[in-house]
Amino acid sequence: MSSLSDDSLLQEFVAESREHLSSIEPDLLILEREGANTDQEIINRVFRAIHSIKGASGFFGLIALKNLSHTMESVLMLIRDGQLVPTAKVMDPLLEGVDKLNQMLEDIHSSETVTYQDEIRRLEVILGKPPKADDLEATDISSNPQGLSALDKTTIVNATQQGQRLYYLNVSVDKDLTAKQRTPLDLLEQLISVGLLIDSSFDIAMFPDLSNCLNASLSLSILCATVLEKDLLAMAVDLPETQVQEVTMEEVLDNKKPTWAMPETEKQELSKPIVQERESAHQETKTTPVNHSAEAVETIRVRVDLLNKLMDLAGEMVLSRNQLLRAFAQKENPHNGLETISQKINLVTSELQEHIMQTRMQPVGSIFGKFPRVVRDITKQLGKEIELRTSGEDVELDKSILESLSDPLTHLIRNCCDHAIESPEERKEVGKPSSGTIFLNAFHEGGQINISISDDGRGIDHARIAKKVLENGLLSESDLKKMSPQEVVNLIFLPGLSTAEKISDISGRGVGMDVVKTNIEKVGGHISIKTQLGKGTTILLRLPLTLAIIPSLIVGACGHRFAVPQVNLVELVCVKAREIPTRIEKVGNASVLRLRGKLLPLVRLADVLGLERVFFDSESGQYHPDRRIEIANPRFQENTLVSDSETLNQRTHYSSDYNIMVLKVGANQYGLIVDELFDMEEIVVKPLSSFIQHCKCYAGATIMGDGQVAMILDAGGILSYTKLSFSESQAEENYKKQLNTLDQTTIEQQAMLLFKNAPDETFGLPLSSVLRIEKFNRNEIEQLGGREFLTYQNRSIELLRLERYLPVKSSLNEQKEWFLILPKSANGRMGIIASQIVDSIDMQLDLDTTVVTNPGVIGSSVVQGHLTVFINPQTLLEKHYESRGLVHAS
Amino acid sequence: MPAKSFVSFHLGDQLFGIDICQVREINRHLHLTPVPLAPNYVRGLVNLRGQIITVLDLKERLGLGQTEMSDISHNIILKTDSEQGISKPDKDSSSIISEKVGFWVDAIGNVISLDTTEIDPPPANMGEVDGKYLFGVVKLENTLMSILSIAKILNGKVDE
Repeated sequence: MSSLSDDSLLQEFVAESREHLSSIEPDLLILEREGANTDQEIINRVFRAIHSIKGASGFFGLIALKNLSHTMESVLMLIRDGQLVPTAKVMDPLLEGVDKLNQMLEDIHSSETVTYQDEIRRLEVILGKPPKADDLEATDISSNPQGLSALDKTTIVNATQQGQRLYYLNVSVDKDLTAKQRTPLDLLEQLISVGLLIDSSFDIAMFPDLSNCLNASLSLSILCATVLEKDLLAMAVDLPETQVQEVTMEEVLDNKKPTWAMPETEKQELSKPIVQERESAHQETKTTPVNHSAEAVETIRVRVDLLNKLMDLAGEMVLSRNQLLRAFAQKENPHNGLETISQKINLVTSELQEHIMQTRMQPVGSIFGKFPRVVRDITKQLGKEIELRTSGEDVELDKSILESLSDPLTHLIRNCCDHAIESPEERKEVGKPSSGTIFLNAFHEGGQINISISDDGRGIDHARIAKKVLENGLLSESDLKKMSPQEVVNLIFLPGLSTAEKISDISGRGVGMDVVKTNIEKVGGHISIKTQLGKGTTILLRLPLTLAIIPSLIVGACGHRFAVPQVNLVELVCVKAREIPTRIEKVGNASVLRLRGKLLPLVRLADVLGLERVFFDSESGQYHPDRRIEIANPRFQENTLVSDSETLNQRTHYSSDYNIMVLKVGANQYGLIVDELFDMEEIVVKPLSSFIQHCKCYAGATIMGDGQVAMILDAGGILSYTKLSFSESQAEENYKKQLNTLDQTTIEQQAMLLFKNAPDETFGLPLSSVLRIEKFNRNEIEQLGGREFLTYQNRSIELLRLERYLPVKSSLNEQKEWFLILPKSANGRMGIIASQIVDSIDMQLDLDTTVVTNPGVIGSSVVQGHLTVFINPQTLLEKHYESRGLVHAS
Repeated sequence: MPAKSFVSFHLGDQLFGIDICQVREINRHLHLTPVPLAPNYVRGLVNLRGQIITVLDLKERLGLGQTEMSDISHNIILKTDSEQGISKPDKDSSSIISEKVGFWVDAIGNVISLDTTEIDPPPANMGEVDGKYLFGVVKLENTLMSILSIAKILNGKVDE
């Protein structure tokens, strides 16, 4: 019976009640831990919070909410008065009650249909009440403003015996709340701070038509007890004295209600429609329509000082605009003072943008807060002792990232409790304290947010993972042999791998770490794991500050420009015109590229989009129609249409080279041929218009740096649109593999990037660990506190010199052009300096681990006649972090 | 006497009108980004102060052939329902403009104020325009103005 549906006050109530509930939970857990020794203030805090919910839900006529919170309040009262020791037995029903209240608040309009009788019954067992059928009815009188529950009556009697006075307050929603920009909860909280709230109800009798009651002068009647005099109470709760009326205990118990006189004129004057003035305060000039469907408009809490700052900046912006207009209006010398104005606009704009971004930021504490409860429930279930310690709760993250982080983090914490932390007996045997600890820590680093989850549990046994991987047939034994223990540990991110010996409720169903990894990567994050057998495990999540911006590569086809999100991009391959006949071939109807022993199906972007193919003649600076029909082997086409105009020279000209983007979609990869490659750009994704939504090739649109709109390509959509079949090329590949196995023993090839630092030393690292390579000029390097940085696309990339961490020669400094290798694990925040990129080759990794044995070095091998040292970029990065005194492992 | 103002514009030699309350602004010289694979009447996307607007070729949409880019061709940007302050879709002519769109038209005419009682129901077709896209017809001094039903034009797209 929520007659006040769709009312902004109700939304406010839901938001505030949720906040109360989220603050109650940790307090209840403290109560449970500390037992009778708990700080009285904590008990009072919980009590007040539940009480506010109860009071306000009565106000809104939400009976289910009111009944449940009322019963919970009764239990809390016993605890507060020391009559009940808060043990786990008491806390369980209370926590269940909190869950149920949350559930009701989830969809407030159907909160009345939620069943809560079980929760009430369990709570009443604690209260020592035998569950009676009519008990519920007894609490149901809250819907009846005249009735008082038995508990309220004892409160009244107690209060009067302690010398408190009883008052009825008559609160007008319009005049006392809305006009003063207060919420019902504000009022109730003020009241609770000075006295005891006993009962609250709507004076609904005055209004026959409930649907319209908010437009009329609706009033709330509150019964409270306090030691204050009438005038003081009126002042404390900010009500006119006429609306406070003292009553005697007898009157209250006899259900005698005071009558209120209100001048008729005043009533009319006040019956203006309710607007939420708080919202209008920050200039929401666009009237967003009230959403009448079930989903409420998402809201976010923003600090007022931040809003003030935004208002100031907007004002500044208007001032600058006026100056600009005036400057242009000046007939003589219109450019006078333009420079200062543009400077100001520049400053204000960037500051404005920064602050607007900040409004989306929320502290991670809001999701950390729910984990103590998770840990508590699991430990009870498993009979373990686990303590959760958190830090860095006030580190802020974009709201959308924060929301998508909640599930993966819960999963990781559960995993920790279930697998990592041993049972108390097991822990004692190995000399650890019987209680395990999980540290949950959030911190800033290098413009990113890091969240680490470390435990002091048993660590991850790579041998066990290897065994599981073999059992599930995810990798072959020879694959595993080549991997370092760390690499094997990373296999827990493979889909379909669960190492738990027995499947439990909590974790171990084989859907797990891979999902966590996908979720984290979806928001542009990175997950890494570090473990020490017997000592513990640290999982580190690195997350971007905001989600709205994604790095993309801008490419061109037939004069159009498109953005390709970098997450889909594996690598870029350029096939020279003269190599086309040897590297691109036809399998069935599809063209494929031979890439490191594998066959990659190819499509042309222009063909996919039905564009007329053109090629750019750099000499004449014009676009010409491209008449090559087949991707493979354009020179030797039989049905050639072109021999009259096209010369051999033209076909081998570099503009006939193919730029191939290798894109990945799930486990599949394919090559997309584009005409031009532009720069990397960070783009903001905008949704597609419904007129073009059916074009599966696009993921959205964006506005690029020059102000033009570009479509964002959807790698998966293109794949399904072209109906590219992997089976043909795969069959071919399998066949080739078979041939290989006959010819020679299976040798897995790995792509390696070879580069030099000093001119006579060659290094190698797996190409798969490289994000990209950038060229830069020596004088672009900036120094800061002994560290070196390079600014690229408004980002600072820290430079890592190999000679600092490995006993190798330093590079010569006179060279002007340098290369920067950006490893994937550093997420574009750090790069390794190289003086020369030698080659990228496919080779079998047959490393000698005895010649060079420094940490950060995997091994060495002779490649193309040179001794080459193979490095592990991850280890080097970690060494680099450590050298800066930033150690995050437990 | 309920009076209403209409923005008039030309498609070929016919005069059309849109309720001025549904028009956000009229502009030109915007850089259009064409969208390959989109329906013919989607002329492209433009960046209007940070918002992406889908520009429709109204002539093409009404089956009158393609609009040529010329010195006098203009882009009429419509207001979305929420910008007009409409919360619930109305049954009549207006609304159901759920996203940001603009119409590319041959030429812009005057703003014409008239009494809504002067609007006659549309004939089955008006020149070559299907009557279902029209809300009504108004007789002006020496010509007829067809008032468009935006809802029909924007929402009939599925059957294309």
